[in-house]
Amino acid sequence: MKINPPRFAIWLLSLRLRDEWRDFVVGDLEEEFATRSGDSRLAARAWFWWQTMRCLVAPPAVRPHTRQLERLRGDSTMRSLIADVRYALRVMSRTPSFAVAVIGVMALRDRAKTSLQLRLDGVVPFGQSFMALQSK
Amino acid sequence: MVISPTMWFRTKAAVLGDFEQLVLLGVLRLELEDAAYGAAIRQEIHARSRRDVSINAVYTTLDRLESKGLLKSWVGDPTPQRGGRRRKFYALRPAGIAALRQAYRAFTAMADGLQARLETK
Repeated sequence: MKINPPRFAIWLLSLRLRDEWRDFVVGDLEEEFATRSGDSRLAARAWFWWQTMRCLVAPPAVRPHTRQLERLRGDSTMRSLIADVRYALRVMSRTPSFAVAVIGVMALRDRAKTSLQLRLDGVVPFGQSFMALQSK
Repeated sequence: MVISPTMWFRTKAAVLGDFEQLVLLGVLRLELEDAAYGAAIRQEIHARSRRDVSINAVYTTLDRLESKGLLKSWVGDPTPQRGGRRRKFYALRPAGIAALRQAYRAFTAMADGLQARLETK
């Protein structure tokens, strides 16, 4: 009797893996599962789930082929700008403390710049705070 | 040392990492039987080096080695044992054999005379 690998694991794998790898990775896992389930069904299932977890965390990367790059829309400046923004967001999401520090420094910089500009333009006299002026 | 007009232009073989060496050796062992595909390479590494590597790590490394020009690949026919899924086979290119040879020479040269110390304990 043929024992099938966990369906839910295969479904997760087919969601996570790119088309280029799906057949090869899932097929390989199924093939080895069939060999292992001859010894112990439970151990084979545990092994399949362990391999699935590892694949879900770090699936094989897809190499960008030249043709795919040519097909990308937009000019190279815009593509690199978008890539930079995506990289910045990725770094900030991974290190929230760094993100807080960056946002804090930017807020302080804007506050200082606005304050100085208001005084230079004569909107707020030197030696007086903007809040005090507002309350008058 | 051989002095030749082209000695300065000779291309060096790629430097391989530890896992890359294992994967290439796995391909070298299995390619003669036309069985160098992901699962077989993974099992070969596990059986010989006792390293329980994941299939995604094997495929990521195979893909990197292929992009470096050390391996070539082709897709096989679907098989019923795999639920109609295909296999991706790999074989070494001459650059891959050169890189592996260089790594092997470096390792054996460094280990020369140390067998007694390495094999005890």
